[in-house]
This record gives sequence, structure tokens and C-alpha cells, in this order.
Amino acid sequence: MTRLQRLLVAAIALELAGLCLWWRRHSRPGPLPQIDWSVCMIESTVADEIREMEKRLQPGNPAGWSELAAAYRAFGLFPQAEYCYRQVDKLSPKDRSYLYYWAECADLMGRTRAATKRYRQVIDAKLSVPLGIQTIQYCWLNIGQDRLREENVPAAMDALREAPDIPKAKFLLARVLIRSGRAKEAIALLDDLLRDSPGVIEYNQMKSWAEDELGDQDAAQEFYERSLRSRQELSKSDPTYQEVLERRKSMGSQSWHEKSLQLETQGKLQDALEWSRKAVQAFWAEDRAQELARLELLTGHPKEAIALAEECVNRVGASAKTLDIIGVASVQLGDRARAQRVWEQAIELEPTPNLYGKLAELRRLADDALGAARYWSLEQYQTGKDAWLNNDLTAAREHLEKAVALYEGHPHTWFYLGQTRRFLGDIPGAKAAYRRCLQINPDHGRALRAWERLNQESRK
Amino acid sequence: MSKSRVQSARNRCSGKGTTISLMLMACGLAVLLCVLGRLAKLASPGSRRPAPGISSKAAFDKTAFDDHKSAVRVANVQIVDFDRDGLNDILVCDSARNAVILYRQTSSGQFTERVLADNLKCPAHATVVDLDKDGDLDVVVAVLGSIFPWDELVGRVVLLENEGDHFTQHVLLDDVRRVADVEAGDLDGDGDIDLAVAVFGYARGEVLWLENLGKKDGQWRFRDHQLLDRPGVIHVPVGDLDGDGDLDIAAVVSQDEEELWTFENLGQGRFKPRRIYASPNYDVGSAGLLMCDLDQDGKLDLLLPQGDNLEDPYAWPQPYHGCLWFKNLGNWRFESKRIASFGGTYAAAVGDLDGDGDPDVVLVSLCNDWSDPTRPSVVWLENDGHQNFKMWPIDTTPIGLITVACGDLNKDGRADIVAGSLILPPITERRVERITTWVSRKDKR
Repeated sequence: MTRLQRLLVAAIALELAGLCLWWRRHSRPGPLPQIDWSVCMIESTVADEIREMEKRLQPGNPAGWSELAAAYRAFGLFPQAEYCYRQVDKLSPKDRSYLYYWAECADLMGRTRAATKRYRQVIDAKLSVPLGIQTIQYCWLNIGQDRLREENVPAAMDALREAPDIPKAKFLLARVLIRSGRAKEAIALLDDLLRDSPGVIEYNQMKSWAEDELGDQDAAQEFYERSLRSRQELSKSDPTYQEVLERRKSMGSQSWHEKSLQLETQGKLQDALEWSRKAVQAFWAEDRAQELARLELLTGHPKEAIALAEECVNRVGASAKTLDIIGVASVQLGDRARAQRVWEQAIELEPTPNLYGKLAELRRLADDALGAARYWSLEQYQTGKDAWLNNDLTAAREHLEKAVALYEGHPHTWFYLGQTRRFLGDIPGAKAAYRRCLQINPDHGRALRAWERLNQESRK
Repeated sequence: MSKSRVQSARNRCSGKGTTISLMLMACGLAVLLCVLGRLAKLASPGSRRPAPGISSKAAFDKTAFDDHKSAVRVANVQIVDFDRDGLNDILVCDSARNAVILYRQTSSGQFTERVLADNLKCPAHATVVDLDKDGDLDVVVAVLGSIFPWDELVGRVVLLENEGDHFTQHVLLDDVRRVADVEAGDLDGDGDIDLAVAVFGYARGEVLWLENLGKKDGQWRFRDHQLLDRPGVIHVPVGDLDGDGDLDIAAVVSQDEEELWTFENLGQGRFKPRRIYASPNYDVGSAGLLMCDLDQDGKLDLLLPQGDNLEDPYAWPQPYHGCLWFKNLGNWRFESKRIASFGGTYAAAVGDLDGDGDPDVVLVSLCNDWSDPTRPSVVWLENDGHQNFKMWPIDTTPIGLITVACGDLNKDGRADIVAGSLILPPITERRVERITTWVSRKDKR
């Protein structure tokens, strides 16, 4: 053997050793991916609980791995969750209830191929966990979504067609069909969906766009307007997301906040206050601080409530809810002037009937009948608009008519009254309302468009 | 030839053959190892990473502006010479303070804070324009009304009219859903400044343009016209896209539609809508839209950062996140090209960072894999002059960056960078700053 040959043999031996190492590393899972808690964005009480779960884990117990996986998954530690599912797979290969979650983990990390592989395993095994008889169809929906993420539209459509009982899949298919120039087919799907849920915003909106594609402007307008008079949204998250939310509520300082809310409903205000304080001290969040301030108010501590609310303003800016707490506490302390100031500020941020009602009452107490009437009018307007947005047109008309009777200088009130009367078939009434709106604000674009449409319709 | 010589010749030949076989085997195994190594890398989760190391062509000094009182929720930053003193200032929309804040550069690198308004619920974007044409700059603010997803009618467009020592507020539009952007320009050719408005909303949104009808009895009059009904409209940049001398509008629709629209100005307030791009990936997360002439051919192009992943606080970067360049081919044709893959890309800015005369691009990430402290939050894309881009990291902190702007802060002729972070609970505020600048450094180039 020459020297060169000996060198080559040595190189081959080294390369073979490298291959063996590679194979060893990739043929079996490595250690649990380490978490660098010093850079981790999870709050410390949750991190502590997870570390505790890691310590308590018995490596031979598949249920323990599943539990740990669920905790990791809820807080975005997907590689760690995936590792746990791999362990369950090794320890308890016949129990396949974890496969769907494993697939979801891969999906959330953008590994669509790996996710699909697991979803296919769920489908092939005809599993009914975790989503009951719809599990298989949810797998197809997710496979369809994965293909869309890969921009493979035909494969996505094939997968989505396998989930005919999942409204989201049907809706997604309708959307893809419209984009593919097949609006007629999409309309058939949307009609199905609207038959079951006529109030869902997205169905009406999509139908409007489909009709627009087909050139039927009147139908497009009709469904567009329907989409505006609803608050029912299509759920965008997977049903298992609820489990994630529940898991988050059950861990760390969030669980203390939840406990406080629960104690409050049981009337145990002092205990609720204690848990609420503990939650806020562990991790400050606006909703927690507002809840604590509200409890301080309920237990007769308006000054403490104001201090907490002011901290909210300093940390995350004023909100109607925070300012309302300061207003109520100020009234308790006899400072009506401050209450009026903060409530007036609050309605600029987020007007609610409740805030208008309080301001009206303050004006009445100050013997300002005109000011009180104006605020009561706005209270009715806001209530009427809420009813309008919920497509309760009869209630909307009642409140909006009360509003214009109390104060008739608010253009939006007339606009919504015009809209409501139009949908209820009172065309002369609608015209009168739009006319009044445009007298007050000649540049009210929506009123102008509605007025124009009414005139067009009457010319037809 | 003797037998032994023949044998020796045969041995030599077979020795050569063995050597060649061994060489082939060694090379084959080496190639296999390389391929396996590469495959392992590709399979690793998260976004692709930029080139290792820092480019020697651009180095920066970093400074953080932090008040350490309010939460870190900056919605928008811009570099603009607001007081026209020759030094660029920084204009900030801070949704934790409900404020529009001017960081005025008083001398090189020194900034003083001036709050222009502090009662606007979640200002999302501020556009600087001399709306009243009195010679000073006013600010038109897109007021979101809620930082969290919400479909209620809480949006507004508010004008901060510059009166010298103070700003007078005028509500130009209300009773609309969350407003994410307002851009200014003479859209109907009548000589005054009109506005394009992006109503983001949540499940419902729209693109509007507001026709300026002037000021009467101290009240500004604007009439709203609807151009498109789509949810999730983020930005509506205004510019002459077809080179016919008037201003057109572009719009990015995010949420579930993921579309790009243009509105060709036909004159007299009439616009022709065109959908120029629609991603079949409804999760792609369009995050903004920028109008710029990236290839310097005289036609305005569009830059589309994609990487909004705010559906969940613990979101991960996705392989399709990054930045698309829509090259304007003229006649309303656009050609798209992916110029970067970068996890959680939320905003892009354009500027000549290396001083070579062509525009480079800066990208920031809102949701990269922050559990890995080596993941960059700011990168720049070096333009080789032919729009081939090489991605270089700039920094790994602060994280959670949602907005970025480029401009010359230190008057050295090179673009500097300012970026803002936005962090929402339950995410902790580790490794974040409200506002950070990266100012080009001369000595280390």
C-alpha cells in the first residue's frame, strides 16, 4: 500500500466515523433542548412552575411527558414540546392521542411537511382524539392550510374538500375558489354557510366580494351592508387553542388572577383582593391592575383605587375603563369636578352608554338641563348604535329616535337613524334622517352615499 | 517482456486503480457528509439566518431612548427635519403614552423630547405635511383606538395643526374602525392636500380617501370616499406609480386576504382599483408597504415586509417571512422578487447604508425565535447595485421591533437607523427598548 493509499484509507475511516456520529445524532432524539431562562420571555412564576414540572417528571411515565408537553406548548416552547411527544411515542406507541398536538407543534414552527406527516398518521389510524369525530376533518383542514402556506393551491383545495363539515374549511375553500376565478362555486359554499349562520361577518363579506367578481353590484352591496350589521366573527383559531388558553390561565401569576376573579363571584372580596394583589405584584398587566383597582373600590378604598388607576395611565396610557375607575372613585371621595373631567376624557377614547349616562347625571346634579339632555341623547345614540351593530333594527330605531328627540344636532345619530329606517323599509323616514344629517354635516361621506343610493333606487 | 516485468506493470495498474477507487470513495463520503450537514441545518426550526459576522461596509453606534416608566409600545418611528433647522429629528407614535412625541435634535446626537399630543388612543402613524400651507409642518395622525384586535368603531384621523407654540387638534374622521395609516397628497388635483386612509379594523376595514374641502369657521372639512372594503389595511402610501404626474395610492391588505392593491388616479377624484398581488398563503402576515425606487429606474416600486405573527403572544418565525420587492415594470405591471427571508419581519426602510450610491434595505423583526439570543432583530440588505441583496446582521437587541426608519441623523451622508419595539403582555419586557438608534460610524468602516 502506498503512502497516498494509506492517507486515503485514514480519510475514509474518519469520514465513516463522522457518518456514524451523524447517524447516532439523528437516529435517536438528543437531550431535551435546553431553555435559556435568562433570555426567555416567559414570566418568572410560569418559568418556576415549568422547572418544577421538569424536576418532578419520571422519565418512564408517558403521562408525565404529555403533561410537560402541554405546558411547553402553551408557552411557545415548541422544540421542547416536540421532544416530549417523541418520548411519549417511544414509551407508549399504541396511545396515539398526542399525534395531533405533535403535528400542531410542527405547524407552529413552520414545518409544514413534518406536520402533515403526523396529521396523515392521525387520519390513517382513524383517531377520534382530541376533537371527537371531527378530528379527521380538522386534520384535513390543517393539511389544506399547510399546502396554502406552501402556495400549493390545488393540493390545498383537495385537502379542504375532505373537511366538508368544518365551516372554516368550507369558508377557506370559498376564498380560494374566488381567487381562482370560480366565484359561482364559492357562492354555493357561502350560501350553505349563511344558511346555518346568517350573521357571521366574514361569510357576508366574502359573499359580497364573490358577487362583485360576478358583476352583481346590488347583491354585493346588500351583503356588504349585512356584514356591517353584525358582531359575530368566524373563529380563526383551532379548537385545541382553547386548551392552550386554559393551560395559561392555570399557571403562574395568571392563575392567581383567575382565582381572584372566582373569589369575587363568590362574594369573598377580601380574599379576592389578596390574590389580585399577589398577581399584580408578580406580573403587572393593565387588566390585572384594573381588576385590583375595582376590588379596592368595592371594598371601600377609593384612594387606593385611584393610585392603581393612575399607575395604569402612566404605564400604558389612559383607557376608558381606567378613567371610569378614577371617575367612580372621585365621586366616592366627593370630587365631582374630577369625575366629570375624567369621564369626558374617557368618552373621547371609547364612548359607552354607561359613561354618557354618568355624565348626564352629573350635569343634572349641576342644574344644567341642556347639558344633561345632550348626554342622555348620546347615551341613547350609543345604545342605538350598539343595537344596530347587532342587527337589532327595531331596538336601534327606538333608541335613535329617543336620541334625536333629546338633542338633534348630532350628525351620526341621524345617519344611523337613516340607515335603520331604510333597512326597516321606511324610505321617506330614511330620506328625512339623511337630509338632516347632511344639513348638520354636508361632508358626511356615508350619508351622501346612502342618499345617492336611495335616489338611484327610487329612479329605477 | 519478462514475466516479472509484466507482473510489476499489472501491480502498478492495479495500485493506480485502488488509489482512484479510494479517492472516489473519500470524495463521495465527503460530499455525503456535506449534504447531510446542510440538510440538518435546513431542518432546524425558525427563520433562515443572515450571513455570519458583521459587514465591514457599515458599522453603527447604538443609543437607546428609554423613559423606563411607560410600557414598551412604540407603534411608529420616522426621521424627519420637523423644525427645518437642518438636523433630522425623530417623530414617534407611542401607544403606551397615547402620544405623538418629537425627539428634536438640538445638536449632533442630542435630542430633547416634545410631546405634540398625549390624548390620542394608540396613535399608529403620523404623517408630517404642511396641510394648511402656512409654512410650518403639521401632523396628521392615524388613531388606532385600541392596540389589541378589536372591530369596534374606535378609530380616528386627527390633525395636529402647528400654531407655533402649540398644536391645535381637529378630528377629521371618526366613527370608523381602527385607523392604521394616513398619507397626504393632492389626490384630486385641486391644489390642496387630501388624505388617503387605511382603516385596519379587524374583521372589517376599508381604504378611504378624504377630500379636502378647506377650513370654514375654524373647522376643517373633509369628505370621505370609500375605495375598497377589506379588513386589515395597514399602509396606504401615496406616489406617482404610473409617471403621469398625479398621485396614485397603493394599499396592503393583511389579516386573511394578503393582497396588494393600487388605485390609479384618473383625475377629479376618480380612482381605478387593481389588485396587483394576492398571496395564496393567507398566513404570510403582510406587515407594511413602502413606496421607493429601489432600482433607481425612475419608477416607484413597492416593498412588502411579511412576518406579522401576532395571532398568539408566543408566535414563532416562519420560513416564508421576509421581504418582497415589487419592481414597477410600467403600465401597472409589477414583478415580485423575494429579497430576504427573515423570521418575523415587521417593517422595512430604505437608505444608502454603505455609502455606495445605491439604496439598501433595513428589516426589523417582531417575532424571531427570541429564546435564541443570537437571532438578529435588525438586519440590512446590502444592494450590489443590481438589486442582488446580501443580508447582514446589525443587532440582536432590542427585540420585538415593529417599526424602522432610515435617515441621516449625523449628517455624514449615510443613512442611519431608528427603530421602535412593541411588547404586549403576557410577554415580559426583557431585552427591549422603546426607541433605539444605530448611527453610522465613520472610524470603523
